[in-house]
Order: sequence, then structure tokens, then C-alpha cells
Amino acid sequence: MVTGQEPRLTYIKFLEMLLALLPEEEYKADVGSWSRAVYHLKQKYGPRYPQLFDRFEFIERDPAPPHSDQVNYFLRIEQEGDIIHVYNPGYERLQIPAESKEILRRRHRDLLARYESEIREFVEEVSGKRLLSFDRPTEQPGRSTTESHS
Amino acid sequence: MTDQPNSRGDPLQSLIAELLPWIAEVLQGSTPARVAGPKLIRDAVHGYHLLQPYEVAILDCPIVQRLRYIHQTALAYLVYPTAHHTRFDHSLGMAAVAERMVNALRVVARVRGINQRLFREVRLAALLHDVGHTFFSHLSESITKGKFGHVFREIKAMTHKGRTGYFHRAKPGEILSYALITSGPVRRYLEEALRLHRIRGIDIERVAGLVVGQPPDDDHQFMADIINGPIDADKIDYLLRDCHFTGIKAEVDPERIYFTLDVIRLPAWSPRGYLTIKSGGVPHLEQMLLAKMMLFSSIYHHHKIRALECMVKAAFETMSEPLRVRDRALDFGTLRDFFYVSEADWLSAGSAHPQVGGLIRTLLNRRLLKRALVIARPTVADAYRPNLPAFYDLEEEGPEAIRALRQAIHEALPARHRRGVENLWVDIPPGPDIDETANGCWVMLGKQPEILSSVFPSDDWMRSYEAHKTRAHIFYVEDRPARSAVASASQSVLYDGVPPERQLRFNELATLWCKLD
Repeated sequence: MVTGQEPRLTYIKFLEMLLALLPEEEYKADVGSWSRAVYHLKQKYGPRYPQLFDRFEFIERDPAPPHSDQVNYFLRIEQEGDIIHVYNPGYERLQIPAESKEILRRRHRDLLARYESEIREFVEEVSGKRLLSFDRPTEQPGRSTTESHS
Repeated sequence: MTDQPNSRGDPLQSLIAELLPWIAEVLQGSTPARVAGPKLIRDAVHGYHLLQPYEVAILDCPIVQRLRYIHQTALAYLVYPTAHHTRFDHSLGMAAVAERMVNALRVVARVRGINQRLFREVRLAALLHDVGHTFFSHLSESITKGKFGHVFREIKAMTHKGRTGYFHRAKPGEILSYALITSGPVRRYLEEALRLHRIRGIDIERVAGLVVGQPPDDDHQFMADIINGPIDADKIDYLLRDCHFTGIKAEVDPERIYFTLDVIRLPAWSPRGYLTIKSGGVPHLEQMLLAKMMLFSSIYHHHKIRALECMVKAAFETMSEPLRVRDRALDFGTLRDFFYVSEADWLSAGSAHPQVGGLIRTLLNRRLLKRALVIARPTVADAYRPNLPAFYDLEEEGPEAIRALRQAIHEALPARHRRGVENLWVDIPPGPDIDETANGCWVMLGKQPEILSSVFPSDDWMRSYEAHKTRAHIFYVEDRPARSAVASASQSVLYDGVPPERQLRFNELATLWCKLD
């Protein structure tokens, strides 16, 4: 093995654990929404877990969503690795397939064994406030919102 | 300042104190002179540019003059032979762009409250915004950011002038510029240059604030946005300049952007006067983002330029004996050491250095490290693609994780191909900061303000582009059989030498793109 040491809990591992535990549904794909969700978690839990949240830096231009380069980079590499899918017609919905969640749960089983309750609390916070939920457009008469755009 | 957290006192003042001996040396015997009249210069990108006498006196300050010897795109001239433009040229160009942006706001958008003092402060901020850069621009910035990251993090977290997060949007180079401009000796030099030319009312603190994106007050946020914001003069100038001097054809229409600028006060509960763009300018803003993406893949992420960066990092990693520059022995254990060295010093003293002389002479003769393996979405076998994020996470785990991987690959090589781990690099390029433009920029659709990304999902499109275009590399010496051996060893280590969640298997493109066959 390249290193025998226990890997550091990086912001990428933290967000991957969050993805693994998010309920099955579609999420907003834009980095602004994801940055806002992590910003909210940092505001609420940062003082309790400073080492974890200190790595997230934000540019704030209220009322625009705060911007984080780390969140943007995370979404990019997860997209590159096919963990998340955003190739829908408008590039607006982010999907986390069940098999991706399984991969992430396997990848972080040791960390999840230790931090699962905390991560679940973060997930509930994000879900409860619907910070990432994708609001489906209202169905128009005569048109299905699930029609193919190919 | 050593690589230890500074837990006491004001971190900004500690940084200034750290730089003071160098500032004193650079400014020794220098005083501003009275300049008789304005000077007209010819800029290759923006045409004629008029400089006022006090601006010429300030440009003559040795702290600014040193920017003539810092290349804007570091060693990119070894790949694009005409890319010899400097931070000095860019600072002048940015002042020209900033002036046009302010004039357009005043004359076309009829924004009130732009007086001569603000106009002068914006131009001065543009002229001074890059004084904190050290040799090879962003290349040395990536080294100082890694080595002294805690210094910049502490400054970003501090409350300054009663504002929490005063430095929240500043990059390390901009924080260093702020520290230099507000240091006693530089500030006195600048104030004396203004006094000699009877320029009154300019506050150097306000000028420095603009450099890190902080306006004098909420109403004038747009002045700070022109210097350091989602659509700033810095970006417009460097896109145009880097394209011009590399010869890359990526069209940007700055005039259309200037003439569609406006100011909007948001949010209603605590309004700030943000820079915004009217709908007519939106396609040109998008064009600018596309040009930026193109420059990333063509210049900043070009594999040869990444290899050059690795070679400079290799020199820093290997150098345990100090670099002798004139009468000084520099071990780069302090931020100040980076300021004592010019690019010419680094290349000249470096090529005589007992440990890294050979490496730097190799670089001077353009015998660059070459690709042995390309690690990217198209080169990783489909079934192993989900493990790519875990590979990228190595960078986040710290330099020791990447070093361990390099070491493991080097040890897996047959003895005849081992040329030293300093010649073997795993390079994961950072992403471009494009999304801030998309998410932080307001556009006006009639009278309705919208965030650019909600009008056109440019951030998501660009992320998809990056996900397909960004490539990590394993670099090694030019010798083809040795590189082929590295390609095999890397593939073996990245499969057998890592935990299953990190295993990667590659398709033929991973080596085909390296031109190994």
C-alpha cells in the first residue's frame, strides 16, 4: 500500500459522506445552491467542528449565494467520476444514482462508522430546510415533465 | 515568519513586520521625483494610455518597477515563445481598463457619486494591485500558499477595520499587495509622490482596500468590484493580454462590456452598490467566460506548462542548502525570502546551486519533464471512473500523500530506469475560478436583477467542460524507455498499491496521449 496511515478527513471525504446519506431524490445542480447549503452548515456547526469547516472558504456578496471554490471543485470531480449526474437537458438537476451512494458508503465505511450520526444530523438540516431540493416545474396541460428531450 | 502558526497578535501586522526589512532595502535611497507632465504610452492591447505625473512618480517606485521582471504567465514563454509580457505591463493595462469602466459608468450609465478622488483611487489600485507578486507569478504563489497557508488563513479569518472577513475574497498575492501598500515606508513613498504633485484627498488605505475587494463604503462597492470582483478590470486585461501575447485566438469584446455596465443597489435590507451588466452585455460576458476556459486548457493547464511548474517545485523540494543570491543565503523558510529573488536571480543562482543546478540548467535548455501517464475522465476505464475523486483527494490529504505515491512509483521501477524521485511528479491541476463570475455577477433583464447563472447555467456547463478537459499527469524524464517504465509502474501502483476504493485502471488513451509508442 502507498501509505499505511489513516487518511485525513478532508472536505472531499466529508462531502462524499454527505452525498452517500442524502435521501434519494433530485437536487439542484448549481454550485450556488450547494455552496449555500455548506455555508449554512458551516455557520451552524463550524464552531463545533472547526477543523472540518475551516477548509471551506466563501466569497460573500449578499444577496447572491456565497461562493466556495472547494464546493465547486468537489462537484466537478464527482461529475468527472460519474458519481453525480447533471447531463439532463437544462443542466439543472443533479442526480446521485443508488450505485454511486453504494460506492461512497463502501469507500468511507470506516469514517462513516465513526461520524455517521454527525453526518446524518447535517443531512437532516440540509433536507429539512430544502436547501438542495430540486423543485420540479409544474406540469403544463398536454405536456409531460418527464418527456424525452433527446 | 516561519512555517508555524502565529497565534499571537494581529496576523496582518506580523506579515508587514516580516516584510519590512526587504521593503527598507528595496526603497533605500529612493524618493519620489516631481514629474513635469503627463506621459503617453502605447500599449499593445489597449492602444494609447495617458498617465498623470503623480502616477508616473508612483510607477517609478522600486516596489512597482520590480514587476517589470515578473512574467505574467511565469515560464509559459518556454511553450509560447512570445509570452514575455510582465506584471508591470498588466498593471498598466488594468489601469486603462479600469478607467474605461469607470468612465462608462459615469457617462453612459450616469451613475452618480463618481468624483475625481474615487477615479484616481481606482486607477492607483489597478497600478498597485500586483505589487505582492513574487518571481514566476502564480507559480511561486502556489508554493507560498502551500508553505505559509496558515498565515493567509489567519488573515482571511481576522476582523479588520471593524469588518469580519475583510480579506475573504483576497488571494495570497493580493493580501501581500495590501500588506506592502499599507506598510509604513511604501505608504510614505506614495503619499510623498501625491503631495509633490498636489494631489489631495487620496487615502492609501482605501486604495489598498480596493485591491482586496473592499470598497470605501457600501454605496461604492462597484469601485471595489472593478478592481477585484466577478467582472473586474484584472480579468478583462489578463484575458486580452494573455491571448495577445501567446497568439491564442479567443475573442473578447471589452468595449461592449464597458458600455453595458451599471450599478444596482442590493439587497433591499442592506443595500450595496454592486457592479452589474445590462442584458445587452450578457453574451459578451459569457464569451469572456468561454475565453477564460479556453485559456485554462491552452495555457494554464497545458501539459508542458504543468511540467515546468513541477520542475520548479522539484527544485524547491530538493534544495536543502540555501540559494546564494548576491550576499544573501536564502532557504525560503520565510515569506520575505521570496521577495529577495527575481526570476533572473532564481535561474542564474539556481543553475549554480550544488543540488539543483543540473535541474535548473535542464529547464533553461528546455529539456522538460514529459508525460508518462494521463489521468482523466477519458483515460480511466469506465468501471474505475468513480474512484477518480478519491485519487484527486490525495492532493487534499497533503503533500506527504502525493510524495508517498511518487516514492512508491519510483520504487516500482526497474533499477536502470530510476532517475531520482525528484524527476517523477504526480500533478493534479487546480480548477479555474469561473463560477464566481457566474454566481456573483448580477445582470439586468430590463429592471429585474438576476444572477448570471440563473439566466444562463454557465457554471454547470463549464463544470461539465472542465470535467471532460482537466487532466492530471504523471511526469518523468524525457527518455522514452524510462517513461514507458514509469507508465507501467504507475498503472501497477495505482491498482495494486492503493486501497480498493482508490484503484484505477486505464484505457489505451492514458499512454497514447503521452506519445510513448
